[in-house]
Amino acid sequence: MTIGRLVTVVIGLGAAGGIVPSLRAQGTPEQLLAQAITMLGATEPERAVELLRQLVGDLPATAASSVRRDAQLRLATASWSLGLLDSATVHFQDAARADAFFQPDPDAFNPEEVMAFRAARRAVVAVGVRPPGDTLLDARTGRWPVAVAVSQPGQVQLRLAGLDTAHLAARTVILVVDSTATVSVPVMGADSAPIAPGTYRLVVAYSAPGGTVSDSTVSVDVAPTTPDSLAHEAPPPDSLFRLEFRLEPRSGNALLRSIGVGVGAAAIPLLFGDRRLRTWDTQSRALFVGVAVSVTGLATYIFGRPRRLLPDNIDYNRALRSAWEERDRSIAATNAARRATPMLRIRVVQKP
Amino acid sequence: MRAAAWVAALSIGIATGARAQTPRNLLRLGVEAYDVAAYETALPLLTAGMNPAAGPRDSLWVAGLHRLAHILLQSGHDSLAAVWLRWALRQKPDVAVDTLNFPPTVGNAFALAQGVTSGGQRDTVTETLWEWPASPSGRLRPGAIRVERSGVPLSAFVEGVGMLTPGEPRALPYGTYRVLMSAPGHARVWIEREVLPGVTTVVRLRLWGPVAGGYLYVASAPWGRVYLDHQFVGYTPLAAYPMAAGTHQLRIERLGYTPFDTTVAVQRDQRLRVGTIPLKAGAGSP
Repeated sequence: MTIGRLVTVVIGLGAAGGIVPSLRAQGTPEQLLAQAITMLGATEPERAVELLRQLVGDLPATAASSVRRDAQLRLATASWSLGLLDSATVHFQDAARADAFFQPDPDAFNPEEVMAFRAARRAVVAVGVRPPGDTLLDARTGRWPVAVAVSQPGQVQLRLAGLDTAHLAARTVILVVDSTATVSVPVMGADSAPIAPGTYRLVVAYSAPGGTVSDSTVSVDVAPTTPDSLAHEAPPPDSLFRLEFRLEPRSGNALLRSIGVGVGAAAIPLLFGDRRLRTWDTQSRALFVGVAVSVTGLATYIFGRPRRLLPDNIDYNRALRSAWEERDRSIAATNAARRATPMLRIRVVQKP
Repeated sequence: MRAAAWVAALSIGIATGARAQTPRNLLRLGVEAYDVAAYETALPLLTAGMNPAAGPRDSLWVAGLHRLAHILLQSGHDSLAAVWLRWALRQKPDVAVDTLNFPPTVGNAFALAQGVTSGGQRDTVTETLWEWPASPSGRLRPGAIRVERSGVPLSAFVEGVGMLTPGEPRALPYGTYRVLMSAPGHARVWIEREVLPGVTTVVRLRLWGPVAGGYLYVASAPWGRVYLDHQFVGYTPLAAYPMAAGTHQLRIERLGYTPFDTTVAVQRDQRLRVGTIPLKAGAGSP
């Protein structure tokens, strides 16, 4: 071995051993992807391809599938632009495997890229599932909706299996999927009894003319739960109610009557009282009573306007109140029924 | 009576010695069989005789083509007739259509095929050959396509099918296919080729050697069609596209966006990176 070759080997070993900063030290996968996108924007696809190849090679198994997919897509489009059609096809296939749901947006990907992706997707056997993150189901009749995407028309089997054991926890659903479908997975066993609480794997087996593939990366936590009760409705606001009476206008007769009664109350003792008993004191009292009666009458005139009831409005308000009471009773009945129904809460604890 | 005797003799002759016949003779026999209305007999003879490697594309070949198209159209195989006509018109674009001896359906089929084949630019980048079956093949037997590398890494992609492995034939149903061929350092090229029943279409890329110039890198947001000196060369992003040294007109256009026009000057061995051109929304040409 010549000295030159020896130096090359040493440098190579040094790089492999960590003298050169590892890719992980340069940033998170998302940051590296952003760097590569910047390079592509600067029309430096060779550098971007180099970085992206390292990125997809170093991506941990736990990396988000969207990052893996985007990195593979960027790598594929960069390779395609460089005329490396074989490499591009391989990366498009990897992107389809990373996310079987992905379909390129014709506005974002040029027609050649769209065409190449579709051809690559057809050539691989890939399956993807997207269960809802948190679902509440009737334990007796509920069905868990799971979105499924396949790269080729084929048969898909879905079942919930125990995390530790391979025993079947729930009924298996088998269906033929052309591209995407939403599958309703029953949450009950073969004996129609609800599945026991615990952690389960969603096992997906997909067989297509191009081969078979299985996936069990989704784990779910199944727990019995009390369903959320419906909130009682607030009573209708006052603004919705109509006036039930109307104030009538004041009448001059009422004013005269009240003053007259006061005058009468003062005048009667003065006019018809025993003069012998009359003193200044008794006169002033009579006058005081008369004034008091008049003032009372006046106050009644001012503050005590006559009211007229409005039967239509009263009926309307009564109907409004009854409707609310009816709804409230219905909510109460629904809540009672819900409390009596066994429910299961299915939460995804590990996504694909 | 005489025709029936001729057909019987012809059929016996074919059965015993078709393999020994040259394609040229098969073509002649096919024309004669057609002329006595022995269409079932004529069809395999004509398809075998159309092999361009067997002889010139002369009046006999054109006569055979007309008869082949007529038989296929009459038997309801319009799409197969269209494929044969497109293939033939790529070999001989100046075929004079015989409208006197053949019904209008044949003339219409020729016109449609001419409409498809006459639009494209003359292909100077690829060379195409056909490997004909040794014996007359069935009407609907699948054909194949094969690309051959010319000493450089070559990749080829068939639209709607996928990648082709250079040197390996890919069986395909008959039809017209768009093939993208690319070799690093050389311009990529889209070509249209027919796959005929039982025939292997062989495409060779004529590489025009290392370009005495530089390479263009351009991207746009959103993607657009790239024209160099008024010729469509691909979509953005375009990378390492070989260009002759000198000044070139670059145009990027997309429907709904204002076209971007500029002049680029590239020197020998230069990698000209134009960057990402933001296309402005507006009334763009298609």
